[in-house]
Amino acid sequence: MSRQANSQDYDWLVKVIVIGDSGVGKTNILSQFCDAKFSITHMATLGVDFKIKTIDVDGKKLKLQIWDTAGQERFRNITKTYYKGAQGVILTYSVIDRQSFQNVDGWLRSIQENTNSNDVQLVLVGNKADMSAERQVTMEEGQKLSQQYNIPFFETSAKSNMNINESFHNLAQRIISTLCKMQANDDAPKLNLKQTEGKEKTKADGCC
Amino acid sequence: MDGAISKYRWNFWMAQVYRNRDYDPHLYTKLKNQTPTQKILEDITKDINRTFPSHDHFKDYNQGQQQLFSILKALSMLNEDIGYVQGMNYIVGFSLIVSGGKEEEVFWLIHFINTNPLFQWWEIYRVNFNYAKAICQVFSKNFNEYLPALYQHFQDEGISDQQYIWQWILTQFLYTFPIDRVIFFWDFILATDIFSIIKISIAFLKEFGYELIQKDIGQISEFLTGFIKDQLQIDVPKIISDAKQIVVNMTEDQKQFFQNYKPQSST
Repeated sequence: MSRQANSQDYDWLVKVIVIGDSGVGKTNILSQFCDAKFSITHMATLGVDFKIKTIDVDGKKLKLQIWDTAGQERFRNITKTYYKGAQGVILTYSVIDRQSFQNVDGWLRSIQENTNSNDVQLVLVGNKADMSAERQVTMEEGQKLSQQYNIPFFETSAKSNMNINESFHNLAQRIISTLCKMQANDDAPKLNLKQTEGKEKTKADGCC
Repeated sequence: MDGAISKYRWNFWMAQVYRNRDYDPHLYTKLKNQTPTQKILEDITKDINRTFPSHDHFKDYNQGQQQLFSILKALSMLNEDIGYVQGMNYIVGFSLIVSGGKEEEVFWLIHFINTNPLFQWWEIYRVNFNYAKAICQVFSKNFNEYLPALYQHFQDEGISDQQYIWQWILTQFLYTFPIDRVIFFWDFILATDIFSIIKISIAFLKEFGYELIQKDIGQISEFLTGFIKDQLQIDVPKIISDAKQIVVNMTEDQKQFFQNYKPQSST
């Protein structure tokens, strides 16, 4: 039972969550980023799914543990237990679903309540930007909201792979600089950070 | 293979769960003509084209999707305080496939299962999910007792309930397993009670325990999400026969919970 963690195939291991209303395209954003796949025929996500992707950022290997969550409001109380220990959040709405844009406020509040919000990095993503005929939220509105909260913003299309990598890389870069700052501050060796992560993992026991 | 052959399966399921005192020949038509809240309509609509989207029955916005919509709508009217929760769409969609598109019968099959004290199926979706969480907890206790090494490995790796058992409970295995396997799981569940979900889950984890215990969180997750659906050879008769041997143990509190559990809805 050898743990891959020992084989040093990465410099940092970080936890990222993808959240937002049901049907905004969270799963497709994730599968486009991790597997270069887009599917118009995937099933609605229930509970949480999980993917791993290792990327290079500034010469560092960053291993991303990305949690895909169910978007339906009824599950919010359950999925928010996964916010714990997250270092990055991809907060998603759909530009063809006005309600999902209006709900961004609620999602942000939920992040503030359930994470150590000083250490967690966010990206606001307006997905389905390829569907111009059905657009209900303008790019300006998205930008305005992101400026209001001081969060980087991308309009994306999981379908045409527009700005998907950019969103994750932007997030990853800021996570790394946060980690470097934390490391410099308490002079903790990298190993300690990984151990913290490990402890966090065992606590992510969900509903039971 | 357990259960009736597929041609007769649907009638067999119906006969098994039929409850005369809950049957009202006008109910479905009545419910169909009612309209739920805007929010419920939107939630259902979002899931209609992502319920078994590759299956012939649901490919386009044809009869299949409309049937799915009508049944989910009717069930949400009938169980107003539960409404519509994701997971229901899998149950109804699957039932439509097995029945060959018998809309009203699907409604009745699910309603009978819901009103049967051995199942109280829709209670799984009630706000706060207390019933589903209780099943989940009983599962964890039994997983730990029957397969302690694998249980510990899942704990060590940080595998969450939400990654497998939660999905299996909310969709009666349909989230993870191929339809033609789930049919046999349902044969067993409908002939017994809701705790058979726990038995099948443990029997499945036992069958693949040797593989799973060597995997890390990423690999386990891959195994549970992608692998099973497409490639895995699942020995269904073996899993069912193992499941039948499992006695579900409960703490006193857990026993009390299920003995005293009363659905709050009146139908």
